[in-house]
Amino acid sequence: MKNNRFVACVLIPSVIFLLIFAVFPVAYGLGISFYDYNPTSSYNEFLGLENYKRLLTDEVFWIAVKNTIIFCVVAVTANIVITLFLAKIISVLPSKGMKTFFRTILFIPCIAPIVGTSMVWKYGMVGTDGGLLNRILGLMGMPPRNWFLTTWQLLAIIIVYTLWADIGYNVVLFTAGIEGVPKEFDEAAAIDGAGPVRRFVSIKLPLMSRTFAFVAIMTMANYFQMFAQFQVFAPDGGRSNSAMVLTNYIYKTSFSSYDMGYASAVAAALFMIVFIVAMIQNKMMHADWSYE
Amino acid sequence: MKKKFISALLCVAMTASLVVGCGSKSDDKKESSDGKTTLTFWCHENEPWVKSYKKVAEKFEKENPDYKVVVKDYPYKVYNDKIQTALTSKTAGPDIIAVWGGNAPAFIESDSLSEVPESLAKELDEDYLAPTTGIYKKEGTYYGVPMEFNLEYGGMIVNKKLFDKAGIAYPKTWDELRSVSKQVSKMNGDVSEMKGFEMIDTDALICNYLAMILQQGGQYLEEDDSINFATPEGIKAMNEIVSMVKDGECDLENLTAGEYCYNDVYKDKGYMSSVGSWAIGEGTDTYSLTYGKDFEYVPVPQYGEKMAFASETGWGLMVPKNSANQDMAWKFIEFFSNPDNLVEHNIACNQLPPRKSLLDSEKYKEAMPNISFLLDILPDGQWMGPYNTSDMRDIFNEMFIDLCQSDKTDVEGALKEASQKITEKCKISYSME
Repeated sequence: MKNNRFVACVLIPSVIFLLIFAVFPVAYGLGISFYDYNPTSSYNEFLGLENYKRLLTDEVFWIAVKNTIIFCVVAVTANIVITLFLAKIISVLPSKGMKTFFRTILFIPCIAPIVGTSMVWKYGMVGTDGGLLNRILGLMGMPPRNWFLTTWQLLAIIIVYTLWADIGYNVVLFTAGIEGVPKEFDEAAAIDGAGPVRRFVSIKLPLMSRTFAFVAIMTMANYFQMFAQFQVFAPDGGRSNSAMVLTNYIYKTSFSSYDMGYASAVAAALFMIVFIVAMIQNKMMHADWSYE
Repeated sequence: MKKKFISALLCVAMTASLVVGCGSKSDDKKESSDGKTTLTFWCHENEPWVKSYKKVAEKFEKENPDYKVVVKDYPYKVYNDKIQTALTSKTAGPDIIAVWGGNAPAFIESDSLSEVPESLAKELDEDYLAPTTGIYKKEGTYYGVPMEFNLEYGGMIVNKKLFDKAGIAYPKTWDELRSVSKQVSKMNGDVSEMKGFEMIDTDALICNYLAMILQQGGQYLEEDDSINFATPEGIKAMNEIVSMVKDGECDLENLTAGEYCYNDVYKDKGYMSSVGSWAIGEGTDTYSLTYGKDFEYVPVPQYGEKMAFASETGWGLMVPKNSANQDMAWKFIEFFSNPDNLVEHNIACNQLPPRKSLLDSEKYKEAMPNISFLLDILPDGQWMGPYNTSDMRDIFNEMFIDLCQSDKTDVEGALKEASQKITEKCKISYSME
């Protein structure tokens, strides 16, 4: 009883914090989506489900949904494959110093502000005038391109940038996951004659399911909400909205068109998509949280 | 017992810190330590402009010793979001806000702004040119006072060094302009290595296009204020601009990157760029170039037979309703708008004066001999119309890029579609009168 009271006391500030800064804004945003909302007005007209009906016929919204899903599926899959591969390589390095060195190198882009590195990529890598990509094309005897006039290529560039900027986290998580698997299983399989690839695929990977589930769910939820790089690379969504994602559309609708009610309806749709995807992932990747 | 007490104390401290963090100080009349009332003036980052605002503020403080004007500038990219947040706040917001006319409707359509006092409103009706006040009016009431005549058409920055080196004179007619532009430009793939005449950026493209329609005697605004670009004049003008890109005189780089064309001229990568006179300051201040030696500002050759152009409402001043010092804020704006102060501000910022009475200002002409030719054309301008011009540009620019990139030749169809989209999506929700 005494212990319960203590726990309750300690938890109260966190709960208040969550209620004020997480639950209330989500609920308020949901409320706004039923209004023709302008925060500077004292009167906002109640529209009922009008904003949600508008979503159904909004061409840009559906393009943004499609692009968001493509971005998440491609980027998350690539992220997991690459980070798992890198983590495995790091785990077999002979010395602890080398492991730390490579983990640090891969982690550096994660510490850098995403807006800053996006700008560096936008002008330094992809820039029409003197960008690295165009210099490489020049070395191959090809004329330079304005990459911001492309459609799927621009989205692909943003995916590559995101992978560069973000793989460090998952490399660290997977390295810890690999190292957390008890060595006995690996050794037993080796005695039975399994090679390194077979041991990794059949022993380590299944035993890492909890790390795998955590990384997949968190990365997917995180990538659905990626915004900064899209705002830097394609603030208007790129040519024919080919790089328009839901987060950028929400920003554009609320702060360029000042249509906050509708933007909140788009945000509610994004919330539902992320929620459903997380639920499906959770079911599919039902992890066994022990090695028993 | 001791443990219990400490944990309870910690709990209270953490909860209190949350509550304190969310609170705000009462700040009805902002008084500085010297007992003066502070007026907060918000503007966007622009070195010569901010300098000029501060100068006017100092003059105002001298005449009103009980008041102190604090000028705060913010990067343009976040500026409008900041204004919106400030207008929703109950306290501690700015007293005076400099607002770009294109963004003003979002604030005017709310009821968060203070009305322009009658005496100033009378001046707006009598002495201000129509394009400068258009957007600031809602149902017959003004909510903002213009500081400038925003003209993105009429003049162009020319790279004097490149012209001198090539031994070419500045073009005087439209045909000469196209011919020089073709002669000096050089393309490599999608990218123009040297640009001739440039007008393809977010600001200049639509302004030049509308001027080209109007100069042929056409019109893009219907009687009900809906947009129609798909007129013979509109189609002809669009074909002309698309041919500039297809002929390799310039590219779409600035349009896709959200940059201004004049930068190319200042960086010796372009010969001519259509832009408002404000860009002169960028050349001298940002690029440290010398006017007359490195670059000059000259008239853009007219496309049609008569001079005409459309202009959107430019930068103006507003007072939020939540300001604790509304009366004094309007007094400051009245002081700012006084012809003597306004003309000095316009000179300092390379702006065009919004007041009819300043069109003949000797002071202005003497100080700004390089752009005084624009004063002659200002009365030929019409207001761009009751539209959110940022959204209008998005739709227009997308259509333009598609026309340039594809082999699609249905210019009329593309213009019709864009006109319909703009009319449906960008028209301002309130009426002016």
